[in-house]
Amino acid sequence: MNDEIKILYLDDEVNNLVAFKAYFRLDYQVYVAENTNEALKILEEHPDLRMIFTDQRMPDKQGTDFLDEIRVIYPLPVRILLTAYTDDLDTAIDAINRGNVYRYVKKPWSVETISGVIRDANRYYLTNSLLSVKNKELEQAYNELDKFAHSVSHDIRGPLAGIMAAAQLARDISDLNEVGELLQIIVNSAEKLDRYILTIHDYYSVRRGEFNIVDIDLNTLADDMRVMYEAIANAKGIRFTITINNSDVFRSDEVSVKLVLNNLLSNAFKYQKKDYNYKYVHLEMGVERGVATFIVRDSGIGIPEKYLGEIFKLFFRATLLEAGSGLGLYNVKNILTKLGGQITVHSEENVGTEFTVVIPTK
Amino acid sequence: MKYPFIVIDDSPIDCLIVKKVIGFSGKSSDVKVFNDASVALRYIEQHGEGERTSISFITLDIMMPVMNGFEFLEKFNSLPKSIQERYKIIILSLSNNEHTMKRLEKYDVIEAIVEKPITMDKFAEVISRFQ
Repeated sequence: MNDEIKILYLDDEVNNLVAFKAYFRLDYQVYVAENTNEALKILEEHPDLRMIFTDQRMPDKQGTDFLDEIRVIYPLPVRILLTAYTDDLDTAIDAINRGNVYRYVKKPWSVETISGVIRDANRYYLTNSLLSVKNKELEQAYNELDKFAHSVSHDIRGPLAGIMAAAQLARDISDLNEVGELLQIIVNSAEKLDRYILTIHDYYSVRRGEFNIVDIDLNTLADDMRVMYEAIANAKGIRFTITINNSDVFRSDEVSVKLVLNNLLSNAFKYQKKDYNYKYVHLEMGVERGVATFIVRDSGIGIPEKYLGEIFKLFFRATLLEAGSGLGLYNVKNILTKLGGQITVHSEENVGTEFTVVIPTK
Repeated sequence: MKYPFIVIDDSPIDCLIVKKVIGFSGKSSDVKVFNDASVALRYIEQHGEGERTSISFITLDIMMPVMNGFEFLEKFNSLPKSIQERYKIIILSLSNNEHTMKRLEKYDVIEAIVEKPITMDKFAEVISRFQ
């Protein structure tokens, strides 16, 4: 029996309902209704109904009118009309032409005919619902593309304009000290552009979402992070510590996990309070009962409460104290969704921020 | 004639460039730089009604986090007329698309719109209108 295929049959003649159910209940989930109210109730309880067969001539309503009404709220189930009267043909043709009815079946129906219709209708349903899922994805992709086009003008053309302006100025002046400063501007702008392109690269690898699931050893991960952030920690006088609580087997995509940690850690190092003597960044990690937990805590400037809901949005920026693209945490959130993980944040302004990430092992 | 300048841009690099262009032009008596438009606004509120009679120029970026150029213009418009009259705003922005231009049209305080990258020539052209 195919549990997934749910069929509703609406007919005021109980004999028909009984026969229909008797023939098809073994192969499909069959629901029957004697009047439109019952039918509506079933529709409400089972919005995943794939098709609706309805008689045309019923005491309370015409079948075509019923299909007309439900179409707005339940557009997905495939609608099929049954009728014994040739007088109804015009109404049926009209309903088919308006797109309200997928098939018209003459009564008395045969099992073969109905079986064929169910098969066709199911195929039609699957194509349609797949299409609507794809449409939603497409819509989201378009929205992001829109935002992208907008940000490209700012985040790519910005540093480029800096390079052009500085180069033109340098050409027009002769003071070598000034030229040196302008060259430094060019170098800084080029670096900014390069960093932006790297985060864009992250963005696309996240979007593609092709994961390579491997065993991840937390000790090795900790060593990698230590090596990576040693220089900046020393340079900025920030104490960087890592603790590992519990290390069960953790299987996940290593590149993604590192991308998440690198984003959170680089933010933690970046948004520190200036002139504070006890700057620190702490990373805590552990795997327990198939779930890995990573906590990144810092003594930074914190995030104002009103922005906490916004920080994971594409191109959102809460501060201009440091350079940023507004992509990092968006990428983090996207990866975690794809890995079935979650992220939460606690923050207090001028005290610090704590991000907690949980990722189930694959 | 030399003028005081206020530069508002979230990018420190861009500020440095604008500052240099203004400096090389020889048209500035003083240049103040703000990365945060809301801080610039506070400064203008507090220092707007000084003794001086000459006008000041503000160069304003549009796409900025926290307070963007449009928000700045809105707030600036609600300042006392006596303060507003002392300033000429030059929009210095990357995105001079139709939509942005339309939105900027309604602000009378804008004297000029210059597309980045800023050059000595573009700057000189704008300032020469006030000679």
